[in-house]
Amino acid sequence: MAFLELRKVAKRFGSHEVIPPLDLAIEKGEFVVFVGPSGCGKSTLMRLIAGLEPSSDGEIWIDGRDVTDVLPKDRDIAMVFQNYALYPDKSVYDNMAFGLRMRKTPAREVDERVRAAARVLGLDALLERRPAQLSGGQRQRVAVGRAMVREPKIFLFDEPLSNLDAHLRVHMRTELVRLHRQLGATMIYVTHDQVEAMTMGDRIVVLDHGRIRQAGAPLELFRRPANAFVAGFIGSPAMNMLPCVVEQHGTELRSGPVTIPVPPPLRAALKPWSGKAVLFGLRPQFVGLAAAPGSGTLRLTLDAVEHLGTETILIGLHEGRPFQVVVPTMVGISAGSSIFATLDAGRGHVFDAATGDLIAHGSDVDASVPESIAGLGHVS
Amino acid sequence: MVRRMRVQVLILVGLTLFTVFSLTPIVWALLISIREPIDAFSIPPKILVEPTFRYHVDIWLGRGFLGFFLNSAIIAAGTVLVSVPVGTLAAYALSRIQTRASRSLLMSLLVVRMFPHVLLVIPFFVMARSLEMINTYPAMIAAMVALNQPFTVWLMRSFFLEIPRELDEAAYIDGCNAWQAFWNVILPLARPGMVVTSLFSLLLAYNEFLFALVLTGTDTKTLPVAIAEYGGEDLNYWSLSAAGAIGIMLPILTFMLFFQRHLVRGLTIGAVKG
Repeated sequence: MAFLELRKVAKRFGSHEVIPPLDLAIEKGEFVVFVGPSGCGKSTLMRLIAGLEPSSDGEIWIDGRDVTDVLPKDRDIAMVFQNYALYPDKSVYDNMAFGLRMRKTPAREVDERVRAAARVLGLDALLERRPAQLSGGQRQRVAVGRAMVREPKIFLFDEPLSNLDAHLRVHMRTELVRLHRQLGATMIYVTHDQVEAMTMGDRIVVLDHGRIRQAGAPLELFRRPANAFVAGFIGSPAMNMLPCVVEQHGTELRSGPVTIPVPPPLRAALKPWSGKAVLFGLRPQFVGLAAAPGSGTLRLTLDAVEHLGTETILIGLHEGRPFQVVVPTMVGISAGSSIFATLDAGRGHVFDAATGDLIAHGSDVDASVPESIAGLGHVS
Repeated sequence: MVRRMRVQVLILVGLTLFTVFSLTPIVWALLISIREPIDAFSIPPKILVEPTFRYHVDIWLGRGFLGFFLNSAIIAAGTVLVSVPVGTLAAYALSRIQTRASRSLLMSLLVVRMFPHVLLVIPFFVMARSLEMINTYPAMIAAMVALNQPFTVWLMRSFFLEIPRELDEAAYIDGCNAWQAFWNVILPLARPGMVVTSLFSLLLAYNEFLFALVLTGTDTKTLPVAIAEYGGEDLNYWSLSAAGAIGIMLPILTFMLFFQRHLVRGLTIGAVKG
């Protein structure tokens, strides 16, 4: 039995079903990230686990105990809120000690645990301050400290970094991953930021309209997305999706005026789809530039050029959809320029245009990960 | 810049006029209370007159105003002690449970405030008489609580709405049940709101005239009722009445000055957001 199990858990608000019956198992010590766009149900799912929302159906088990109808205080979980939810009238010390005092922990032990957590989080000098006297990053650390001292079975993080500036966010991301490694605790983290999901989680659960669209290791989701939704959501910039029709018994994909030759390993999978509409997904990192048009090249007029320093993102339109190309830093190219893009079709993915379900992955999707993405590899 | 200054000057002039307008009756009453009637109402008005505190001393010591003040204080304090805790608990529940039923309940509370007091005073009188409670503190306190409750609930609810719900939830996660979360986390944050609500509730009960006139008697007569008895044609009564009016204000004024810090904090409660 897994450490945390959701069995057919569902949530309805009146007649509106926010989370259809859903199963999920999380192992002890895992760092699982719930990711998805706004309104996908990720925070609701976390609140169900915390007991802050009653589930409409199903069971929630933590460490072999059915906690479906158990109050939050008796579930042995701790939570870090998006706005930190620190008690404004209490000092940092009292904020961290509050949970232990409510559980009648002996005063000496409370003191030891609070000071130990403060040391780990670098809060030693701030223990007497009130939350209003702290910076955003410090408040965030107090919120983590308040969860830490409790030594709970499960840590829940509800978009805890979204109120921080970009620089601090990157820093705290690393801190939280380090903390997870140090404590070996089970953590569930909610975010809408796929970069956070990719960099922090052992496993990512991608949610859409309350359904799990795919769950797996970050690179597995990146390389082998199970549907067009995950393919489009995971990875930055987003995967290009070319609307195509399968032609010539699966040997060619026609996308507007462009014919893309299908590599041999993909042909068998596409043969039954001959004449049907599909989406051909290809990451912007696997698109190259050509000096002149050739077989399967796309002519793009650029709407925008984003120079990021280490790389340049070229953005154009193909068949009414944005098409992006990531190339090493380029100078002398600007919006309005025309380029010829070559597609590394072996690294592409083909999805059913109607349902978004996967038809086939290219044969080379696992071959290598471009340098710019390798940096996102998760830390375990 | 010039336009902005002009607007500010206009606002300042407007506020000054408003202040003068508001303070005139009080200053006039003060002037009447410290003069002999012959000086107070002489035409043309006399500016420089030797002040006398005869009427102040007379009304407090000679005419039993100390006793009336005590009655007013007991009724006002009793009203606050019942209406604020009850209102606070109800307001917390109504701020956290936002269903159609709770909204209907909230709106129905306002209905009590919509009736003119004179309409309500008759049933209260009938009830008090049938319970043989006329001229008792509990009858007057119960009536004041009933009148004040909608106000305390609405005011306290607005304070609770300012406190993020995540604080309740953080307390639940930290090991509190609903009562403990309210008592340990939410209530300390709502304290400025409770002070403001208590002060307003106190003022309403302290200044109430109509209900006091009907429900109190010789043993429980309050200051507003007592002062009204001195509004006759005899000019000497005018000075007594003015001295009483100034006297009735002083305890409340002192109270307000003492709690001014809480009052300001309560009215700017947004500051509790962490």
